[in-house]
Amino acid sequence: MNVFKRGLISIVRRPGKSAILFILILVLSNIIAGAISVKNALVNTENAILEKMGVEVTIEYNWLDITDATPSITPEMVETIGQSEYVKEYDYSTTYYMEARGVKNYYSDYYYDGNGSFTITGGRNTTLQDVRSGDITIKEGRTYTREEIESGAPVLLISDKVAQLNDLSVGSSVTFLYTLYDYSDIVYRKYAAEGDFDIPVLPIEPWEPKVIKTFEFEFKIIGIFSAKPMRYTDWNGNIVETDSPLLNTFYTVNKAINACINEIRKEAQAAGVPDNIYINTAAVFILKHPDYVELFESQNKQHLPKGLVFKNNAKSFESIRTPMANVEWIAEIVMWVAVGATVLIISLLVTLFLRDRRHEMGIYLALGARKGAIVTQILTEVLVVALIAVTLSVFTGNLLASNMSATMLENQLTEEQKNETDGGRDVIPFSDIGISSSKSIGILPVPIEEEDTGRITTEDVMEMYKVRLDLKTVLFIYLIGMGSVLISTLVPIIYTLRLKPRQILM
Amino acid sequence: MPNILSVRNLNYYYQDGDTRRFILRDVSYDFERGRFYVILGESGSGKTTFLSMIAALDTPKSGEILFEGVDIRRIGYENYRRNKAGMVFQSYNLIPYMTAVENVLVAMSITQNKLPADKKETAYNLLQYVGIDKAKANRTVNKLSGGEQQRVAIARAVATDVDLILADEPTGNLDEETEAGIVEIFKSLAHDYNKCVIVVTHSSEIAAQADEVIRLKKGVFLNDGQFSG
Ligand SMILES: Nc1ncnc2c1ncn2[C@@H]1O[C@H](COP(=O)(O)OP(=O)(O)OP(=O)(O)O)[C@@H](O)[C@H]1O
Ligand SMILES: [Mg+2]
Repeated sequence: MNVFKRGLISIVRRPGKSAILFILILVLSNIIAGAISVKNALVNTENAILEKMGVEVTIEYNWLDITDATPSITPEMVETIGQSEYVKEYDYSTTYYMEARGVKNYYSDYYYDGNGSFTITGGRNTTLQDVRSGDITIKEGRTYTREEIESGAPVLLISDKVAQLNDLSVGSSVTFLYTLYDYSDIVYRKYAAEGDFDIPVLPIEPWEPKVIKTFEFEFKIIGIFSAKPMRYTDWNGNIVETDSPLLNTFYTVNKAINACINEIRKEAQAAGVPDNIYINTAAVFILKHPDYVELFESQNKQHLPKGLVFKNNAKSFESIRTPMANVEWIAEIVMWVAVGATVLIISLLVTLFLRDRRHEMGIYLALGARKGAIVTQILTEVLVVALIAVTLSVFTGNLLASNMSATMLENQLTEEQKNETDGGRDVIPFSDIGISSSKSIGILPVPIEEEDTGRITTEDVMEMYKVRLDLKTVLFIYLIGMGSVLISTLVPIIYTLRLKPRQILM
Repeated sequence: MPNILSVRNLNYYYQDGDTRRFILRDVSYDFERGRFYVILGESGSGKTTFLSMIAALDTPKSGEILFEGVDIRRIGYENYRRNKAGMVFQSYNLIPYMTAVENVLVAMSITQNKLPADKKETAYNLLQYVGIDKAKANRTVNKLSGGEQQRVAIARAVATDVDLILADEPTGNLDEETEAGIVEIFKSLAHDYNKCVIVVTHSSEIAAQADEVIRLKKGVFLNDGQFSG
């Protein structure tokens, strides 16, 4: 009769005691399993959210510090900063303004015939920033591919409104026009002012500048998007909805815009005239983790000329992180209290359990059994029971935890969002931050309050929040559950075996 | 051939502040195979103390215990308990949730002495020898009477094929009739199986059956000599 058989006999012949031990370990390890599951789920959710949203840093003009020498943001500048180890991905967008032959602008209240001028916004990633932020949605066709980005293919995405107005669809072509003029021949009539200086006011002969060249750039439409209306509060305090200024924006790849501009510049240079082209580049850097914001900004400040500054949306994570951190904190406390309580209660229970085994251990000692064999036997008994209980609790604890913690988290999130609205906390909506410089070109009023398109809602978090059984969680539950049982069993056994058999038996 | 058990200058005391309260003082004695010894003494005279020394359940303060001429410390207490001596307690000390035969088998699985191949059969036979039939042998021991339990305990002590059987007031909790039966087993073990049986008691009835009676008084052994049967 070996030690394992003895252990088994002991479990089976004393069903009451085994059951008590089993139930107790089950209850306690349920709490541990639940707390660990919740904690892991929260960490996973937070990571998933951070992964999904990323913290965004943009380059903006600091209007207080701007000088004539302040250059615009250049692609080179963006490429350099984009190499930082804190950057997960980056994007920049070149925006230019050109006429499109026979294409009319769309305005909700009026439109006119003739060539319309359009904002052309470039991109560097297959996901358009304005799509990401939720400002526009691809309705038909597709976005550009990596190959098109690399090659600078003249592809175009236009709004549904412009498409409808101009009878354009996926596959149609749009030709952009640019005329390079030579103004050098124009002579201005000079009014002699009362002072000593002349003011050039009106051109006299020739009336028109000389045309050097009219460029035509043909682009192919690959996609149609719809733009989300903007909301703002008017003077009377009413919320008014208007068309998005992005309706008159065309999206293409950066390289396609640069190709056009380079062509124009080359010609201007050859003709010896200034090109007068002012392009606007907006950049966004998505960091690997919100905690990197300060490191990233101080690391790359040197690359920004005076007048340009970094701006980030790290603050907007607070509304998600705070409630998650709260629940995480509770879960952590519950976990350690449960671990502590389990170790304590199991120790007491096992000590009690081993009290009537004390005599038995004395008998084994008197019969000359090795201490190792006695330890093995008792451990086998307790651990077999514990193993079944802990295994069961991995599933039941998970089940309990997912129901309870989800409710808890949801309440916390709702609470936090209520506080935010009440306290008027300064939270930057994501949609304000992406590349949307084109918006400011619009003639529409600047939106006062926009709908929080890019913001993570309670629903988003709850959708991502899943108490799942990953291997790490399961192992951790076993480690803590079995570990505490093991320790609390070993201590009283060793205490007993340290005694002389006579002290136990006689 | 050396005596199976020799005790030399055995001392045991409890430290009482500065003074030592001696329980055993310079005890020396030789025990032989094939004899049934009884140690008599008043309550508190140190009988259990002595027995637990020679059973290696406790350690003396000084002196030596030789088993077949070898100090039991050299044999190792665990080895000695496992392979050399069988102990019978006043309170039986059986494992309560196991059957009689399982209790015997536990001891048989712990010893390293060479035992017959069919341990279970041997265990049943031994139990039969001490008066436990097969039906009782298959009962958990807490469903046996005190006398029956003590018989099981004796079977367990001899099951490991040891030559030294030690018993601490084995009949202390039993009636006279049962006591007589148990004593018969001890006598038989000594005389029929050539074992050395040492029984501690304060029963003069048992003493009357012994081959040799030792009186323990004030920590020393007084040999009454042989009761001439
Ligand atoms: N832990 C202890 N501390 C101090 N004294 C003790 C301790 N254990 C036993 N004693 C004393 O040692 C003496 C011998 O005890 P022992 O158990 O050997 O007596 P005994 O002869 O077996 O008595 P009994 O016939 O009642 O069983 C007793 O006087 C007892 O009070
Ligand atoms: Mg005693």
